[in-house]
Amino acid sequence: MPRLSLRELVLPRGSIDSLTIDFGPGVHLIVGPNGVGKTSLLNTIAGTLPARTGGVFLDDQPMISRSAAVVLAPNVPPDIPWIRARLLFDFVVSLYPASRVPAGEADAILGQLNLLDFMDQPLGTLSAGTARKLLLAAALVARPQVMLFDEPTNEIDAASIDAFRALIAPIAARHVVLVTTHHAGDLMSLEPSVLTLAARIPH
Amino acid sequence: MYRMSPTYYQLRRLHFRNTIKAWLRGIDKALLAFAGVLPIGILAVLAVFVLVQAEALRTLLRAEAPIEQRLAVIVAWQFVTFVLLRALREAVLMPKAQAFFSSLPIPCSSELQSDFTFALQGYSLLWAPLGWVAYTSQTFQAWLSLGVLVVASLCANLALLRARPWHSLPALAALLTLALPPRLPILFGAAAVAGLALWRSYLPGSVRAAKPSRAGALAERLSIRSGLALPFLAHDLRSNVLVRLGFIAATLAACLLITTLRTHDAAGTRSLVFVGAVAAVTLYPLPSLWRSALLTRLHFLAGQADFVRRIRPSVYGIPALLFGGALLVAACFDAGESAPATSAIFGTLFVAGVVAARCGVQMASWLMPLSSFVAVLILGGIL
Repeated sequence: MPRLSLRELVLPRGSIDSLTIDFGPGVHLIVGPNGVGKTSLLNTIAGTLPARTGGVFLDDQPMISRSAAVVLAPNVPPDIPWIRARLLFDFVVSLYPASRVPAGEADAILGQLNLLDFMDQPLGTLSAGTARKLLLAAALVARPQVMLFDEPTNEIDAASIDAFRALIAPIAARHVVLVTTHHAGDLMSLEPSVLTLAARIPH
Repeated sequence: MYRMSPTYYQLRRLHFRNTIKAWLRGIDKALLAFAGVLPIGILAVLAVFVLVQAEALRTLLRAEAPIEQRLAVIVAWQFVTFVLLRALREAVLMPKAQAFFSSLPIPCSSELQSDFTFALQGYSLLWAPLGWVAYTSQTFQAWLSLGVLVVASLCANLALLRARPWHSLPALAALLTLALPPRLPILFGAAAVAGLALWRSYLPGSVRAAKPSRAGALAERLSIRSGLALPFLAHDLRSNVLVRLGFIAATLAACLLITTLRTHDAAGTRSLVFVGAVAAVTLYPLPSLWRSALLTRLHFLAGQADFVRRIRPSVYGIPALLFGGALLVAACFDAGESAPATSAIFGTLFVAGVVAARCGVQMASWLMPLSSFVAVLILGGIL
């Protein structure tokens, strides 16, 4: 079973200062006010934002050497409006050859999130919610040991939130799923642990 | 009333200026080095450019000129202006923001006025031969012929570049009628048809949603294997790369021109030296620019070792191939005897520049042009 460890982590942005915590399999919600460092924390775990000090480890190995074991579904779609949704999806999934689910299951996930009709359209023509669902679907299909979702339920319709919950529930037993959110209620049925990040009190 | 609010035209003007500035960013130093190395060459290239264009345009004004020649001039003008506006499309037409602006109650006349004005500004150097011919011709019919050529061609270009190919057909047909001997009714008719077709293309509901195009399976596999570097080059860096290649091509053209003009002595021009220097200075920032753009746009994958590994061959290989290709072409016309040594020196300079840019060494932005300049002085036998 994977174990994600943060050791005395200090981030260059936000209020996270010397954070030490372990995450086992399951859903873990990260909540806190705007600007506290939720997105920065996910970016650091995904290796896209270097920590000021401290480290991120997966099963006691530095995360930087296990980049194929983590996927991040960002809160903002990439600024490449010309790219076809299918090409972006296939590309993200292709980076996880060891863990990705079979093609049939991938299509089922796209179907559950109501994405199949949009896969031939350029990213720039998709609605914000659809573009976000595309990245959620890519992460769910890639399915590495650590899955990071940055505010996944924003801008998404109620049916898709239900579908997302239904897709996450069976995965969570064997994967570390970190979710930042301002709408914890949407995901409480998954019985998550909750990490609350607090803003620094100014002196 | 918001007295300080800008008009649509002012926004477009701001966008035009900023986009041109952004494109030239990083190339300004190469331009300075180019001008420093080849001041006479630049003048010669510009003079030949203006004279050839002016002579061609003058053909169009001669009633006795054969129809094939007149047709060739029109096709050449249309080709040159289309390529120029295609390269300047983002600056001239602001296509990326059109989806937003088309949702605002902006009159189509304002949009047409802005597109027309900035397209004409985009012609830039093409105005020199036009102005020269108009000044030397001094007849109303000549001015009208040139005016109709510019307007009809611009109408066709704007319709084509705004993805309204059907609306460009009347303008293209009008353009072809200029191959006939110039007569006032033909000229007025051509201008009216082209202008009307363009105006209709700006009216609401003039375009239907196009079917999304889909690349072939091989192209998609290649895109994925390259970490999306290749489609990124084709979409986002195309203009930037074309401008850089344009500098190299212009240098080679200037070298060839100087070689042609130097008939009084047997010495040829060290085209490899000049092209090598310009290629090294213009191409060395490309890998770093390309890499950082990819990692920024796909920031959520920037920590993926496989992603970084996949983009490497394209990001470093293609600029290296372009550099090597430029040296190879220049070597074919080089009059010197030490081509391998010259290539090795500029190759080393290019590699050093690529490494410095990758490591974020700010000094490279002035050290590279300076080193290339010194290398040209020494290898070109100027010192």
